[in-house]
Amino acid sequence: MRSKFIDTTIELMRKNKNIFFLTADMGYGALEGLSEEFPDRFINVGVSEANAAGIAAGLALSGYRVIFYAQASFATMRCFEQVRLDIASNNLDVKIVGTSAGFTLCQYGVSHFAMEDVGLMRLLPNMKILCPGDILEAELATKFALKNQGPFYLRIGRTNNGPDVKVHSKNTLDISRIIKIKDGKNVALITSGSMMLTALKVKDVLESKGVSTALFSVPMVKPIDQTGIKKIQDKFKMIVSIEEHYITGGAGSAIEEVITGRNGAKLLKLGNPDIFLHVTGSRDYLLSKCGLSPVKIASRVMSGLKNKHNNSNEKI
Amino acid sequence: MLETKSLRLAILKAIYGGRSSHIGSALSVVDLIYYIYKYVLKFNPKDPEKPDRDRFILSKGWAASALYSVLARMGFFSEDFFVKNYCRDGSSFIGITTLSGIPGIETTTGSMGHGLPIGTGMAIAGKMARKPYRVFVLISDGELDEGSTWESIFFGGHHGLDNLTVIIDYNKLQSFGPVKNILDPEPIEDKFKAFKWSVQRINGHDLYEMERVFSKIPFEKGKPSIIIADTIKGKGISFMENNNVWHYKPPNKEQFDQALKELQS
Repeated sequence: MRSKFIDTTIELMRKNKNIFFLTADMGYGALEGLSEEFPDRFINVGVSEANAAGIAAGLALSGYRVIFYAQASFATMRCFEQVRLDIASNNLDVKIVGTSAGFTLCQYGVSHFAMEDVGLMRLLPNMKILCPGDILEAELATKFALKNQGPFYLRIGRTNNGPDVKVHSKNTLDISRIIKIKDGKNVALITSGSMMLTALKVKDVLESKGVSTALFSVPMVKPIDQTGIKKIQDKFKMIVSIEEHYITGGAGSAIEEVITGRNGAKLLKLGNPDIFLHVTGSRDYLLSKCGLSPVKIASRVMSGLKNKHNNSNEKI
Repeated sequence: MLETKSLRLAILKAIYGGRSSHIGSALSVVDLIYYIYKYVLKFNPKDPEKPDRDRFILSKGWAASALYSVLARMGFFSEDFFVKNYCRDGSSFIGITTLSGIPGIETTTGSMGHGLPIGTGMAIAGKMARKPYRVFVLISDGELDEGSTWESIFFGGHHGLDNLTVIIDYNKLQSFGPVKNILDPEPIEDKFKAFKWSVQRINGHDLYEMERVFSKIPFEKGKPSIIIADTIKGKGISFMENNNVWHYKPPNKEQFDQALKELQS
């Protein structure tokens, strides 16, 4: 998804001479082409995210549409206060691009696991959040962020171990809406961002157990498509949110804020539980430790269907 | 000091009326801000967002009353409007400079260590787009404690941003006490020279000394400039000078009358 973001950005920077690209020393082996093509609109600020966020604000105040690119952990957490005050509170035209989100850098431990970024960005008024889940969403999310005014957070994770894939069968869609991927009747899986392929597998497992399961993607977490989510709540028995992020504060929380107090489907929120994982391993291993393997998710959905009073914080 | 006496009066009245704080900080920098607006910056108060204007950022945004008093003098709005509204319910004259719609305010500041990175971004924008404007950022000595300030100093020196000037309000008092006892910035000039900045030092209340250095900016081609301004917190009101209590509290009636008397004599 990162290469789709970069290719799309280069294409847009050719058309729009007003886009400026800042990186905090990230992008080795990926951003060289962009930096060579646009020497007057590219700066590697160095490993200094607070400075980079402030510089992004200063460039935006001078009329540029600015991309601030760094690993998700550092683009959002290291300089959260600069993002809040300098960028969000002034509603500036800065696109924060957080790469290696979730467990992308699975072998590096807590320092490089980005599980809080969406929650932090969701707290900020003016901030819009896009979490693409396949290469079509990555392309459309990049275009949406770079064609609309104001602060955005674009979360770039990894969906699988191999090359990026396209999951959507269509070639275009409205990235600001909740998007149906597969039809079903009883359970609605809602994936946000990098869990799309896992969610597809969950659907297969559930279908094999006789549970008719629909699959939706919600790349835009803020503002979230309230109407679309309410329609899903009215139609299904159960909604299952799946994301590579803490259960607290992410897409599941955004969905919960829409459906709380309404009748209809109950919600099972799935994500990283409220712990720091002090282990290493493959991304699949870490996701499984968090109860996010397709089989574990499916079995939690099955017990959720049996249990009337679902509690998403049950032990995994 | 004669030129800035009425500004001090406006600051005193605004802070007394608004029951607000930071009068010591404002009196420390009002001479510098006045000089910069009166004699250095290119701007038009009738067109405050003109693209080729020079930019001034008060990174120590808690001295907002000093900036408002100068902006009023320069014709951005009336002094009376500022004095009557400062820190009052619903007013945009916020106690720390904020992008709240006050003409002449370039950005939100006052969270320490934010102003210089933003000014650095404006300076890069000027360089990259080959615009002739210059950027001036006034920071406090306390802001030298912040890592983000030094990230920008490192960056500005490396990139040779000679359209960027920093002024340090070196009044030697930060919020808890003397900077010397908390985090001593000395040898202060050597630090900036080591980061490839060109350094000058002046008395920050002496307009003649200001003229001597501000007329030479950039001090060296291809380097950012820094002016270390030795100042006195609370300058101009005898009992407020070098006393940190005036970082926090507004004068009471008796203190207000005494300060008024001193400024009007």
